[in-house]
Amino acid sequence: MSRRLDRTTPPPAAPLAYIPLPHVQQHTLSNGIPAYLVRYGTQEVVECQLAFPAGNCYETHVGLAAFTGKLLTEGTPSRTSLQLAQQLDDFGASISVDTGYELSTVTLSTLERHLPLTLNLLKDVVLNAHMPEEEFVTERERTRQRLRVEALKTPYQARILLGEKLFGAGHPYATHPKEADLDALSAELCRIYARTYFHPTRATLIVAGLFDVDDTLRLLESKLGSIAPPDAALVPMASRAVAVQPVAAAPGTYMHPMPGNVQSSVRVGLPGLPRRHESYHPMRLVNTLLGGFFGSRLMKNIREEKGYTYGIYSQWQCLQHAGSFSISADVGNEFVADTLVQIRLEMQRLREERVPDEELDVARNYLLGRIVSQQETPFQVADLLKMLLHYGLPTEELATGFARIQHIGPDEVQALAQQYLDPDALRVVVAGEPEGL
Amino acid sequence: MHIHFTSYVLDNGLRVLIHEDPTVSKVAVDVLYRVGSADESPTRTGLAHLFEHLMFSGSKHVPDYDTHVQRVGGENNAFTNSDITNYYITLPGNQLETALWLESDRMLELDFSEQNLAVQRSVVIEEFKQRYLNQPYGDAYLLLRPLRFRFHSYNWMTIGKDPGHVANASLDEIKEFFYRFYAPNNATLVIAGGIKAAEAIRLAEKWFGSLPRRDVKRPRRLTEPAQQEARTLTVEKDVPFHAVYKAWHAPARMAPDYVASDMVTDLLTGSKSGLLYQRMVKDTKVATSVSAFSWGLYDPGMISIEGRVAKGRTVEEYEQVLADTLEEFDHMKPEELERMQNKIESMDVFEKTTVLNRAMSLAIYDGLGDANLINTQADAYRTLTMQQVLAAKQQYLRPEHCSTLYYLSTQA
Repeated sequence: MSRRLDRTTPPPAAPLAYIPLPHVQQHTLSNGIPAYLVRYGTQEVVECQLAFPAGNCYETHVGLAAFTGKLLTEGTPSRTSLQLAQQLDDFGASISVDTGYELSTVTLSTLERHLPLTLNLLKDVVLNAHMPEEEFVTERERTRQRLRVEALKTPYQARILLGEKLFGAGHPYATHPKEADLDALSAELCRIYARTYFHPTRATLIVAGLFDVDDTLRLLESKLGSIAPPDAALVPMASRAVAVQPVAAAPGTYMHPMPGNVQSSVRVGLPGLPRRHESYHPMRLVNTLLGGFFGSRLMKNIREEKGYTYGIYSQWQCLQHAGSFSISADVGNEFVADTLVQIRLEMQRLREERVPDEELDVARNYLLGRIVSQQETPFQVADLLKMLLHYGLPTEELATGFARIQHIGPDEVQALAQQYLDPDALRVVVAGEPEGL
Repeated sequence: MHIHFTSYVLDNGLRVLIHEDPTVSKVAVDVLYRVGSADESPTRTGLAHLFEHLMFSGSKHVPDYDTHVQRVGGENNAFTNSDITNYYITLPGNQLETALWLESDRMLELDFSEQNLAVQRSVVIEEFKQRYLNQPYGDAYLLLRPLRFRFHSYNWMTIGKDPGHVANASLDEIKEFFYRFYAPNNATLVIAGGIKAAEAIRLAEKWFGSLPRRDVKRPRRLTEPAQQEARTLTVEKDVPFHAVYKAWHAPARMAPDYVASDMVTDLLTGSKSGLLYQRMVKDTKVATSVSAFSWGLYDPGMISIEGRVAKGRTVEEYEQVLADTLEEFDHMKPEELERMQNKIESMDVFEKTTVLNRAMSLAIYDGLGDANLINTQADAYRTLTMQQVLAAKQQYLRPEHCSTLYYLSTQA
């Protein structure tokens, strides 16, 4: 006979332990490309990332970096766009390009056994992409149509407007191409951009997965180590995020009327901090508590008690030179006014009242659990390492941040909220047709 | 890559699958219930999905499911489709018992409350707006489904026919739904990751073993008669460009020729090198996007192709290029098939890099009747011949079986 099962008491919890990043081997190829190798994982797959200082912060024309990124895989003198796609499929591999504000990445994902041959394709793309005029025109038309559809979406309009209010229109952290910007681009501009900013000798190379380290190093050296530097006349600019200071608009409410929509997109925010700031990690916890996970105060209040929205989240985003705090929710038009009242109330409560230990521990453990969990695959490890290198931080910084989060108490949470989360300083953006505002 | 797993059936009918991976520190727990929106009544659609929301609003002994997952550093979510409802959690390996405690309690019974129901009805209606009503083209599949399925309950999307159905769902209906479908003998439990199989099965037995078996009464789904002629529906909306949505018949997910039919859509738009993508977007530029889907439904289902018509081009031109390309498909060379087989094989390896993906695949395949498909499915694609693929294409992409939604722009 079994004992009666106690279903009311949770099974005992164990403290979360930090799991260090796997060992990273650092090398420099003979032409100076820094290479970081992480042998990790259980499947014979490899991800090879070339990370470039490129993106919105490094462009003379709005949208040029992102558009160049799209065209990188659209053909080289020896391979048309279709041939490149077919050859990648033959190996079951892919090359993807991600362009961001200040960091852009060209990634080759492949089965380990095909690394030698697929590396040739990666090399061809970053070295020789030649942006055929026809591909440029096709892509520009597709982007134009996509932008026109996006423009009808309330989340899109609200996000763009909030960026402008937090950083100032024209700041690289708040730039988004509009249809007219596309007219100013040309295939030649993209060619020059690629040669200047996506040249392999300007990349940081990160290779993660299950591979033989010595063989792979030899391979990288033979494929990428002898590439000569680009034309000396192609000088990259300094990050525009250094030259252009963020200029936030005055606190207040900014509307983007979009009649006929059944929901409005609410986006509110505050200027934040750069990634290397000492309050980055502690504020991650404060953000988690307020709106960073499903158990947050905002989610409990606005979704789980009032049913105003499918979801409400806050974000603490820290970039190289500046950052922001923001809250997003798409809510029924009739709920907009009270949603804004509740957001301010929750921010105020965090500043005025000491957070209960129990609640803080749930948020803390959730966040620590995510940190540990985001190191499961070699691809996740490659991404983490890439960001650390980008911000010039040592790998130990992750462990320090983990320990920091472990030890934050209620007083510090309150002090941080008082310092960084002032509801009276909010820039409030609403796109849609809200009632009673 | 071979995924080793062991399977058990508890006395109450619960199916338990365990996959050990000592190289990871986390554990993934997946609970799949064989109930979906196709098991709903046509007059109360969206109920299966609304119910999924209520599964997080408190169970018999545990009022706050989410908090206990978060407290131990875990994360959880769920999804509903036409055939299944799937719940999943990942958490540190030493916290497995927390997941089993929580999942077993909500399999035992929910804390049915009017207040929780009222809130989740409102949340789901906002979800309905956010995903289907508040964006251009968002309602296309709400319109296409009833065109393709006139009798079968695939007639409506999982979110429901319209928000009114969800708004009027009563607590009695919710209770009836629970006792009818949420039962150990209608579920599969998967435990995968950094755990020991013996310990996992002991804990599964401890928490789930005493749950009562229930009388699962699945409504009989109607058979959709073979379509005799093409159907069309035209709507005009305030969107910037015309769009065209087409649906054809497709074999049931476990039918012998399902894999071949799925390969047809892969060859059309499964890669940038896909024939349809190349012809419509790159060569003729008649469309700015085009994608083909196999929906993988339990009963005979649908293949769909959707595309946006390029500015300055007509729907007729779009239709012509699509028809020509589907004809050209019959002359596809075997190396195109081999290329896609390589891609699928590689995608299978990449997909299996996380324990959560492995746990979900095991649960979903077990729901279909054979968990070992996780190991054999890639081979089924690998061994397809061009003949089989062409036979599936000719069988399923017939003009007289096609249902078309013309989503026309009032601006273009």
